[in-house]
Amino acid sequence: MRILVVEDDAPLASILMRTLREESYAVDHAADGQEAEWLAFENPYDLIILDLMLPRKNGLEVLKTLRDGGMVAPVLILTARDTKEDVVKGLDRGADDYLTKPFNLDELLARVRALLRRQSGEPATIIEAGPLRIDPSRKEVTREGQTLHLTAKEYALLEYMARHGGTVLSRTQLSEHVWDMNFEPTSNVVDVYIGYLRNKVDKPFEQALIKTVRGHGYMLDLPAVDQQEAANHAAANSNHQPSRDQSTHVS
Amino acid sequence: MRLRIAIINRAGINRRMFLERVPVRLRLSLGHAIWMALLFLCVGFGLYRVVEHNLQRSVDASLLISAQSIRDARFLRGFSPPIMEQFLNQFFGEKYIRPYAQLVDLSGKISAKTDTHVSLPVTPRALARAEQGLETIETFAPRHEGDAPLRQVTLPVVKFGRFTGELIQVGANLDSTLHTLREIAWVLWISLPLGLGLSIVFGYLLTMRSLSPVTQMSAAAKNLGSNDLSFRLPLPVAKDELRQLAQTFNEMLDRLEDAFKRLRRFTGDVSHELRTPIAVIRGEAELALRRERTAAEYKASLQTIVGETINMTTIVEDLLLLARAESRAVAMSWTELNGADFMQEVIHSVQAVYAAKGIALRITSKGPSRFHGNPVYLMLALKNILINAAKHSAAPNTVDFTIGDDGRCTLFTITDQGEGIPADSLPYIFDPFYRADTARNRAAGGTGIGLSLAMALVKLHDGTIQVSSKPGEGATFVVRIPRPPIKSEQVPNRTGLQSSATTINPAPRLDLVTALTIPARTP
Repeated sequence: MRILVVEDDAPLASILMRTLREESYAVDHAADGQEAEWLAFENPYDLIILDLMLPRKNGLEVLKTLRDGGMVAPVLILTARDTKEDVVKGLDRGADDYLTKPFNLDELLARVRALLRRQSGEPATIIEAGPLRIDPSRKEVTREGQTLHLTAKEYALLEYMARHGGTVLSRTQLSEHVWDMNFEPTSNVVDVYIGYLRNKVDKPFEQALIKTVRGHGYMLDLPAVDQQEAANHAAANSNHQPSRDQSTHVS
Repeated sequence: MRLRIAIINRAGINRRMFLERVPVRLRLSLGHAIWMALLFLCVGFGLYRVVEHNLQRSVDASLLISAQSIRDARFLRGFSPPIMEQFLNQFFGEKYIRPYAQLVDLSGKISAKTDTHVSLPVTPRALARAEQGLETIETFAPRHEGDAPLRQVTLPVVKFGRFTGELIQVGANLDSTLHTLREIAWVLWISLPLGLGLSIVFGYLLTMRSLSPVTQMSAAAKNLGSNDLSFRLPLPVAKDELRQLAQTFNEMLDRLEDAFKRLRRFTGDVSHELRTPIAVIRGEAELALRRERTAAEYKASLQTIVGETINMTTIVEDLLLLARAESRAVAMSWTELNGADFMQEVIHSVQAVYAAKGIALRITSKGPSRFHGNPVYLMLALKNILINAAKHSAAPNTVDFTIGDDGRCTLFTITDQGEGIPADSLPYIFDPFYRADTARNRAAGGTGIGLSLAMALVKLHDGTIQVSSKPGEGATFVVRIPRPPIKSEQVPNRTGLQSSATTINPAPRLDLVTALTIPARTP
């Protein structure tokens, strides 16, 4: 899950980014309104945390531009402005949630999880993908009752794949949602991490869940899901982003 | 004597307080009614007197004409007394005014009379006038209670310019005259209160109607909430006091709206400026506590927290000083200061900031060698303006700092070559936390209330700050510090100050232009 933090106050931005990264989210930072717009249109964020009092372009204007530009990712406004009018205005301009400073980190993270849950269209708080059981609030993964010890990045990769279980995900998709802007597109980091995951998720067990779809990418194969449906998903997905898929494949 | 004045005064106050307690519409109506009552009384009384006078005159005239006719008949026709009596009776007949006539001589003997004879004495006055050939008209009180008074004319019979000793007396009672007057008085007594009552009612209605815009205004003011101050009163068409009142009210609303807008922005800004460091402190602490960390990580977190706490302390201290200075809750004392020393101290206080940014500070002194001010507050004010100038300047720029004197005030001029201030921001730059661009970047430095604080501190000196700016070419701040108030006891060398104000050659000045330039730090 990739998050954009828009906050002009450097110490606060640093805290937000460190916290979110510890929670295994991929995080990018924008320090002003213009940068925020540029980054938001450039990258497929799963969530945007937006301050309102920003240099160059204020948060509400940024929000309007993003929504007018067709951006659907949930937006959490994080601001010192706490009057009723400010909250109403923020939500009416297209924000999904509103949190005032100073805030509790646990509450912020819970709201982030809730927004991401809603975004993925999966209302359950525990992600069940075949034999896998993922608890995003505790970053805990179990397979057939056995706890898997994953690093933050491995966890993020697995969670993203589990949320899109039975769907073929291109390397670009994976890198865009699991890695931040410092990701080097020509590297094979995605393949390396898929290798790590396989070692921890598949190796100790009989059935391999992570499948390589030649020419497309990877897929978390769910035995419970009907094969036909999975194929449809795969076809639909590959139709969605054929160009990006191609470019990744070439590299 | 003094006591009497006091009593009168108290009575005056009581009366005024009573009037003040009466509602204005009642006061207007009552005042109107009192005037109307006075007017009605005057008109009624005058009317009555005119009618009374005219009636009397007509009665007198008819009596006199009758008497003259009788005299003419006596002489021209030569009637003997018995025929004369017949004539008199014929002459008056059965007139409703019941007049009478008689012919008397000086001895009081009546030679001829009407049937309705009334025996009245010939008064000495009438007799005296008769001897001169003049007629006399007199009123006699009624003999019986309830009767009308009598009016009588005594006409002397004069033959060849000589009084013959005969008098013709014609009289009538004033019954009908009095009756008419009574009727008129009755009509007046009825119409006066009626008219008065009507005028009070109409006056009250008129007052209510005239005051209805005021009622509207008060209703509007009552419905005014702090959330919506955009409402304005419609102006009455007539250019009168009410229109003026509505205009004044609207202007007050303008100012109120502006004040509320500033206040709202201020609270929003204050919450931002204070909540952000709190958010950092809390966030950093919570983040550190989320899991076990190394000593270095804890140390870094604690350092961030300490840094933010210092930040916040500065903001709170500045806000506190601002609030105190604005409400003049600080002790203000004037001291005589040495111009050159003071400038050096000011420069010293900002030297680090200027050196760090690599901005040159050029000091020019063409002002007084000595002037008055509060060293702490004035220095803080100038320091804040200088830091603001540095904030809006970049490396090759120079900031000019000049001390001068215009004869009445000590002048400090600070000119930067920064980006300048947009015209629409100029009215707000002294508002706390106002930033010309919406960028509220704490990294830009300062607490955001430097200029507000400078303004408040200069105002403590009863001084002013003027700003002029051309966007793109920088801004100029002119601080004027006037002479201290004479009454101040802490002003040393008071006489010197007075002489400098009156003599043509002012106090000795430091005329040499010193250019103390802080060298820009080479990067």
